[in-house]
Amino acid sequence: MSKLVEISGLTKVYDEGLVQGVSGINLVLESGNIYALMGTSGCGKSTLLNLIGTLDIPSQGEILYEGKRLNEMESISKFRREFMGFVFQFHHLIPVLTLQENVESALLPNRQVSSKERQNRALSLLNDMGVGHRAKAFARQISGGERQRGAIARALIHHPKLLLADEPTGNVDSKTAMLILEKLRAHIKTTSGAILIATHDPNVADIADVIIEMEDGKIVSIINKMAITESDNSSSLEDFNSHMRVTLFD
Amino acid sequence: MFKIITSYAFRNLMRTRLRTFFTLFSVALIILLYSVLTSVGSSFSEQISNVLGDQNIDIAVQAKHATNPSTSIIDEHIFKEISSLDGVKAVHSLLIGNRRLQGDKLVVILGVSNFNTFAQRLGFALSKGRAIVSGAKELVIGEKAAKVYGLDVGDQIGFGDDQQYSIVGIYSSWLSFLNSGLISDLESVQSLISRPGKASLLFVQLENSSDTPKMTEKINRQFPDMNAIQSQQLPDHLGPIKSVFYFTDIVSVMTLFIAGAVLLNTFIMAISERTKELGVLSAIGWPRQMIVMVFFVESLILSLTGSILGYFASFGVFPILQNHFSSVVMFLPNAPTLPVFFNVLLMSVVIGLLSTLFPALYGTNIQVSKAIRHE
Repeated sequence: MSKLVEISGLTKVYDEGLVQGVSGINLVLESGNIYALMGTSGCGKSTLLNLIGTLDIPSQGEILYEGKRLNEMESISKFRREFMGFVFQFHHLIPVLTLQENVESALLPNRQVSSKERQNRALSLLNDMGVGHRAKAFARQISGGERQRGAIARALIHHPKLLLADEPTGNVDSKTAMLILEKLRAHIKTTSGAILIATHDPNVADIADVIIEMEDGKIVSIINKMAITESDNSSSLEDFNSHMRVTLFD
Repeated sequence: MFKIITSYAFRNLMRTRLRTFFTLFSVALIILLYSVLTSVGSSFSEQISNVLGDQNIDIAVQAKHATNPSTSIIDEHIFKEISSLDGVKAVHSLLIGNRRLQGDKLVVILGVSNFNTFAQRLGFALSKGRAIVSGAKELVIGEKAAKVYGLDVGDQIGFGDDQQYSIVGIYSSWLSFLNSGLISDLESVQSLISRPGKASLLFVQLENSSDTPKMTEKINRQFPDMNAIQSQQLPDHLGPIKSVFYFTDIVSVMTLFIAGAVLLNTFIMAISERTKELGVLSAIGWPRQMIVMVFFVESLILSLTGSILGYFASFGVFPILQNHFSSVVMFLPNAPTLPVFFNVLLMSVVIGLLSTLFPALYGTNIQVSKAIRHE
């Protein structure tokens, strides 16, 4: 597993320091893992997601993407469209575009992808998500679940290494939620990337490899379920403890 | 890519149909005004340039301090002295004035030293009747004036004080302002407007046209109260034309600013409403210039459509202006000129881009996370 993102001492404050977003975050995101970022509302999950996603600027600290700082990248927009995918809590599809155009929009700036290939990829993903029959419908004409599946197709169309999802199952029924999680899991297998999901949903925690718990802008625990599973088969308590990466920060 | 962006831009405009309609309507109205004004200015300039440029008139002379030809007064002795200069082939006098016709409306009246010469040079032709005979108290009347005042060949026109003139012909000219006027011989008009022995403009024809710059300089030196201008440059020096140019220039710039303000306002509103969308597009990797391009396309759709509508709508305005104002404003064209169309297109592109640039740059400069949270 390679390190996709390394975060050290990440802090974000708002209103000239009056409001603390996140504080002193140290975290490593490795390829092949699904990370569930959990915690109560306002604990800093979305802030951390925005900072990792380059949608916000840290007040302090550093984030390395495959060992590179953001200012070493050719352009932020190119980096976003090649490295990252976003799924927002409220889908945020463009209402005047069709579902297919919305999915295609994430590939639009990439001139190396022909329009034919773009269309094929979009349709294939929509079919995969079970909403291919709604491809030509405008985003405003379809249900919440269909929109969210469209939003996930948009986030996956360019095969990002890192997928950031903010409550992707928060506004859909349990059946759709399960479908979404399946697709995300499948995505990890094909791309060897990583997914960081901010969520309250226990189903997401179930499928995640690593559960990161946040409280008051800080990470209070990181539970690596893979380490626990491997350690279950090991012979000693020491092995179990050494593989189970539980980190507590004050 | 361009197809989706254009389609996206078009659908964005359709989101707020009423606002788009009123923006389009405002731009069209402003461009209509712009087309009318600039057409009036350029048409008059073109008409004068054609007369002077094509008819072997080398130098035009006007009194130095006159603001326009009708206030220019040139004494007979200057006419004679210029006529006697070496290299001068002929000098023709033109007197321009106004008289109330039948005690009612003010009309333009031209006195010409030689009817046939000016008929050729001012581009008018008799459509009915015959040419005037000098000293016979005769005049010819423009087609439009004849129609408006119900006059015909054989009718008498009275200017008071026993000054009765016979209409001996009706003329038409491609110089539209002439069609609303009267023409008589120089002496008669001098008497009618009480300027005996005077002219407004002298047109000097040289033996050799290549001597024009030298002769112009010589006349200006020898007659310090006169302003000799090479004919080609006359439209730029004539007071009324200059005033028209200044007026149209100022109003044109104002109209363009207004059109820009209308578009600016529309796009400030649009960007404010779509801030969240701009954030999402940034988050999924759209470069800033691509987002700005969407707004540029929207703006170009509005400004070009509005401009083309405004330009073609102005075709309907000129006949109305001709019917109501041709006797007052003498140089109204029949339709907007073609160069105005290209001017309108160019201006609409410039305005469209400039008025969108600020809101688009502002809208795409917001922190992406803030933009996505924007309500």
